[in-house]
Amino acid sequence: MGGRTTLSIARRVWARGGLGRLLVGLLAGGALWLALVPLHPGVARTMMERFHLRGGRARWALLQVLPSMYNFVNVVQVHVPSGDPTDDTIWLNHYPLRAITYTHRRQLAAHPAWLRVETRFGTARVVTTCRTTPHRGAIAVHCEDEP
Amino acid sequence: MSSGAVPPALRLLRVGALAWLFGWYALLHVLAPLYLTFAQHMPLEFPDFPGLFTTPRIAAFCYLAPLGTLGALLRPTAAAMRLVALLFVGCATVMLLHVDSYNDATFLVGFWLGLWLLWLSGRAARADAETVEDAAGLLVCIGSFLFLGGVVGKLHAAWWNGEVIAHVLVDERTYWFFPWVRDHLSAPEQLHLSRWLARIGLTFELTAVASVLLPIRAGLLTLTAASLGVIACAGWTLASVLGGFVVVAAYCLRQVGPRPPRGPGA
Repeated sequence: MGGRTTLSIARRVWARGGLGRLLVGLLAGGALWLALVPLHPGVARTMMERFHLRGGRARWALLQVLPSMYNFVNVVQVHVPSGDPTDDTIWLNHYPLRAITYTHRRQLAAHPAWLRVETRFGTARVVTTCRTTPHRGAIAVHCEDEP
Repeated sequence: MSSGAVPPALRLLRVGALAWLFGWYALLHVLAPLYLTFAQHMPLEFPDFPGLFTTPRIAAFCYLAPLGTLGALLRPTAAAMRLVALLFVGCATVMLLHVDSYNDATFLVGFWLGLWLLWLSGRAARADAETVEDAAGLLVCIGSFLFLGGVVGKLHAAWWNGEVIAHVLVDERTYWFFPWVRDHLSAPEQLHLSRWLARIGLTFELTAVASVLLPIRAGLLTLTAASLGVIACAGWTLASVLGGFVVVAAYCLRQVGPRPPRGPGA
């Protein structure tokens, strides 16, 4: 199956400048960063903290354009002091705080609850504890980093 | 305007925009209730998030606004398609940063595919074959990049031994073949199946990453096949993430590369 290679086409788009150069540059820079995830503990930790909505809003927003489907091990333990007597452990494919932000699971946050959110990658570990509290028609979520 | 008068790049733009909309709304039955009902009745307050990105009406608006572009796609022009692409990128950016929707890869793919459409809209009036080839090449680059992000976070023991898949898919999913697996296989058999699903899925993703190194037609074909393989492993809900990509990659495959020679009477 012949034809030009994709990389040679990308070089041609880069050479033309404009938005094409910006797009190729963003992809190349993003790919370099992603390639460092399994190689550099600091980069991996940054990506894991992103899953916990940590690390400052500007940094978090920048990282949001990077793909991370089914990354790491993500486990959330939910404890509801009143109401449902059973604690729940939920494994999630990514972004473990979706346990309270996404679809049907949002009802978990309708009552005061405590969550222990953990992301693991090899020996690295990021843990966050969150409390949800009904507050003036909304659900207030307060999270703290665990060292 | 007859379809024959439309430049190839503009036709590709229209297919790309329709594919973008297909992916964006593939899980309408799941996401519309979240943004229009659950989030409206139970809004979340995160102390560090700006109000724009915690207001449920903003997410609902950005999710539904792309529907308004359907009219422009009936009679596409380069200028109109540029506005459509700008709207797509804008809505995807808000959804990526909004507390109601930040976790959904649908909007990540919408962001990158939207940037691709925006770039292509700048060259929509050109009739040369190079433009479509450039578009196909950039599409493979974006697809390879998206799968690279999936691969790097799976390089750990819990993925390779099937533990993650056993919990995330086999224990949790209520669709595809996962309920059957829970009902008919023992726990060790489920873990064994999960192990091989994880490894096969990772192989598909690695293959998709490598598509950027191949000639353009082989790259498009590899990306399409690998995307379908990942959907087969994880379930049809991934159509919202990869479905639009598959459609536009398959269309590009028809448009680029060596064509069979035409006979004199053709």
